[in-house]
Amino acid sequence: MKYTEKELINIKNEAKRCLYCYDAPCIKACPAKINIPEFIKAIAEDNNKRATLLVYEENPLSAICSEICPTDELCRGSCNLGKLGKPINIPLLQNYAASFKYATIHNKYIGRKVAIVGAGPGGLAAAEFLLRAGIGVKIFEKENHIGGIIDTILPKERITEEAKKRDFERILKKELKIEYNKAFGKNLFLKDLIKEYDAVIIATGLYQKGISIKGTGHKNVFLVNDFLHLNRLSRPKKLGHHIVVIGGGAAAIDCAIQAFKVGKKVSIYYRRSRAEMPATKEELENADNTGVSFNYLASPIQINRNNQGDLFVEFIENKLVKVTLGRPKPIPIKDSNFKVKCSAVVLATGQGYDKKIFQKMGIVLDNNGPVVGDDYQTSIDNVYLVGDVVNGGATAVEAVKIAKMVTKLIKAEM
Amino acid sequence: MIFDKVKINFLGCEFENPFILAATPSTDDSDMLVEALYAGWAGAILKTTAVGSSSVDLKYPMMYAIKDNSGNMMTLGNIDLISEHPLIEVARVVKKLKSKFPSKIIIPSIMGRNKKEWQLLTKTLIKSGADMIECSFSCPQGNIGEDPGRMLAQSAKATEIATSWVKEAAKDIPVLIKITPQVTDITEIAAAVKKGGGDAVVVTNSVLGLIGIDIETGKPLPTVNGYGSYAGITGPSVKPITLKSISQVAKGVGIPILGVGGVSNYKDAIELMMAGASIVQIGTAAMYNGFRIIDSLNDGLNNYLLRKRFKNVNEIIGKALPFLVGLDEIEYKKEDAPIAKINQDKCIQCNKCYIACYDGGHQAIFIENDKLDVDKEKCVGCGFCTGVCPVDAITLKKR
Ligand SMILES: Cc1cc2nc3c(=O)[nH]c(=O)nc-3n(C[C@H](O)[C@H](O)[C@H](O)COP(=O)(O)OP(=O)(O)OC[C@H]3O[C@@H](n4cnc5c(N)ncnc54)[C@H](O)[C@@H]3O)c2cc1C
Ligand SMILES: Cc1cc2nc3c(=O)[nH]c(=O)nc-3n(C[C@H](O)[C@H](O)[C@H](O)COP(=O)(O)O)c2cc1C
Ligand code: SF4
Ligand code: SF4
Ligand code: SF4
Repeated sequence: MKYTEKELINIKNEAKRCLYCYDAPCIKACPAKINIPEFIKAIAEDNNKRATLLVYEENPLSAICSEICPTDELCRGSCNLGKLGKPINIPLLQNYAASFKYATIHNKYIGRKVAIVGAGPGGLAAAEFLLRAGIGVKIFEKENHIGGIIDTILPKERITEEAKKRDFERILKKELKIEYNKAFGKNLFLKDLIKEYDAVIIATGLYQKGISIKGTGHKNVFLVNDFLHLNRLSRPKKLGHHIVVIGGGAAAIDCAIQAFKVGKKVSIYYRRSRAEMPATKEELENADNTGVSFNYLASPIQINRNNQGDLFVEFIENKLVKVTLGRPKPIPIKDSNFKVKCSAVVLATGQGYDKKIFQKMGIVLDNNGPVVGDDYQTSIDNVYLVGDVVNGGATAVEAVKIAKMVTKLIKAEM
Repeated sequence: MIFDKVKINFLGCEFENPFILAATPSTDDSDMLVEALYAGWAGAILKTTAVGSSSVDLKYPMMYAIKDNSGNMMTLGNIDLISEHPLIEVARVVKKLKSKFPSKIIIPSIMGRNKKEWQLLTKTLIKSGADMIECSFSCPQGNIGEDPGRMLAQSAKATEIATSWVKEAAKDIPVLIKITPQVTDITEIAAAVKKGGGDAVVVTNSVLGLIGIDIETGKPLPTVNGYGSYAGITGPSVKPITLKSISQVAKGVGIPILGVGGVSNYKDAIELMMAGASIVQIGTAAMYNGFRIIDSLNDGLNNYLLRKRFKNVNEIIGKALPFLVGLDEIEYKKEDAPIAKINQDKCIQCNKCYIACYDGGHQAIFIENDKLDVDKEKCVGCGFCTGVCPVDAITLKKR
């Protein structure tokens, strides 16, 4: 990363502005628990090596997370200087700290090995933590690349190739073995891994849940990740006059904003009201500014297609009913059906874990997914879960956090 | 983290790093000292103790600070006195720390009124395991010297005599004498320490000053029951005085030096070492930011040594001294004057250099089409503008 002279001045000034708070709220708000005041102090004092090693010590995906973490909800949002209106731009400083190549020291191989299934943020972070402790690691990945969602789904505006390169280069050491095109449950089985390895970490992320309504198989009806993946191509296919995005989470917002690349008008339909949307305030404002039209209290019933290729999504209106626990429940209002004409539909209606795989492996499940203890261990000894697969879909930095906890336990057991 | 470059042997003792805590309230409590040593400090000077310490007359509030525009402490004034703990208590703390941390350097600080007291303090504390003894000849508030109203270290003769008393009692244990910068010639005092048998000097103690006056009430700060007094000045703004004092002693008197006064980070510490200090003591900064700063001090120094390819800390001690001369000794021709140059990539057009050179220099900076530049004829190369520019866009170049 090359910074201009003025950017460097700004970075240095920003670092000097940090109060070096004691028991700082920014550390508490960082899921990876990066020692923020300390690495910022190092930048202010021109000790870049220290800054680099401090951020990577806690978060092996520091460059990536500095770009994609919802920092207004995390570190930056909790900075004490925010109370005066101008919080420290922590992601800017983390990105700077992560721009140097100072290497983290790895222990010598201690003769134990762990299998990791899935090379997304969770799997990669776990691999790095184990390698640092001198534990051998082999990753098995279904695709032919590492990075998971971050590599092929996240819009290009949100994450730079540079950040991925920096973090991946640090992790891809020669000690790290990776086998591609190995799909858990297809050509890779838990019983074999358990035999060969001291522990197994499953970090397979989530898969995209469609919705069970009629018409999702029509042409130009997409699942969220497929849609985002197509939009990462340099010349994505145009999709016509009106794109309807169904959902209210961060992924739906990402889709809606991306959809302007391939469509003229973009509408979001969400089953509750704006207040209940899982997307952050910042994300929503972003979408507002891009011109996305928001429609609330509507659930899809079916999708039809005419001979000209026009799509018609039939919705039903909802009213919200308070419940004792959680967000209010959308209840359909009788005979309130309406149809929306469009040229493409994106289903951003959530993600789920792959039930079948876990059942096949003999891992105990309940309604929320595979059952794990506080230590993220499954019903099978020494088999752990890390990342989205266990928290139901969160952020890369949350995956790092779990990876750290789990690898600490594995290290302690060895 | 491993800091393998920062180890140093000083007066026959192995210091795991050159940083020890100066005598301050941070070093007056045994639990706090334990925490500091765990945090990684190589050792500590315990807060000064005297015979009959428990009758110390402390008055509160005892501190007042001057801050910079961002709210960071720049200058601290204190009217603190010595420790309130009696000698036996201090001796107990030394013993406890040495048994818990055998490899840390524990140095009690003492202050006596006469030969008997100096020697009693020395012997008692050595018996409990002190690695070295520091003698405060320079507490700016207490006038418990033998020459009342003055600090011991303001008289070369008194310094020599008192040093010899302590050394006589200390035998092989190193004796460190903490001196004051507030003398006409600090080398005379350091030479007296050497003559008296002292093993090293601690340069320097806090500087006596008046930290401020409350303009609303017209009363001196800190104000105690309506009155104020002179205070010991410490913190970042005393560093130039410390550097001057250390370098003068280092050049003029061949005696080992522990530097103290105004160190906030590893860069300040390197400066003190380049001026001639082998060990660096830190007071105000550790009180201000906590014992945790030892990590960034060690790491900063270690990385600096690696980056500059020094084999160990010894190679930087006194590094600046060969180049430090009297102004009249610097060879210079008129053509040697540098010229200011503005880096346009950095410049943010605040025009501060313009007005500063206009009213405080030589009217050599001009503005043309919103761009600032230097008039080569008018610029004398004084360097003032480089200190004015908030983004360090101006440097001095060869003409
Ligand atoms: C549209 C979208 C936007 C997002 N935006 C952000 C954001 O801005 N910031 C943020 O922090 N997070 C964001 N996230 C979430 C973030 O991407 C995830 O939290 C993170 O990727 C989880 O990491 P993981 O390793 O658990 O799973 P994944 O990234 O899903 O990685 C799982 C890996 O396992 C592999 N795998 C799957 N099944 C198998 C199998 N059976 N056998 C072998 N390998 C398998 C996959 O190929 C993949 O490489 C977003 C997610 C989406 C969908
Ligand atoms: C509150 C306070 C109390 C101090 N008490 C003592 C003392 O008892 N004995 C002593 O020799 N120096 C004492 N000092 C001086 C420090 O040891 C040190 O010489 C001085 O603070 C300069 O270093 P600094 O700028 O790193 O603080 C005291 C300083 C402060 C701030
Ligand atoms: S801002 Fe509040 S917490 Fe911070 S130093 Fe001041 S009083 Fe203490
Ligand atoms: S809360 Fe803000 S000012 Fe305080 S240490 Fe963290 S980043 Fe710095
Ligand atoms: S620093 Fe602590 S002891 Fe001193 S006045 Fe403040 S709160 Fe009281």
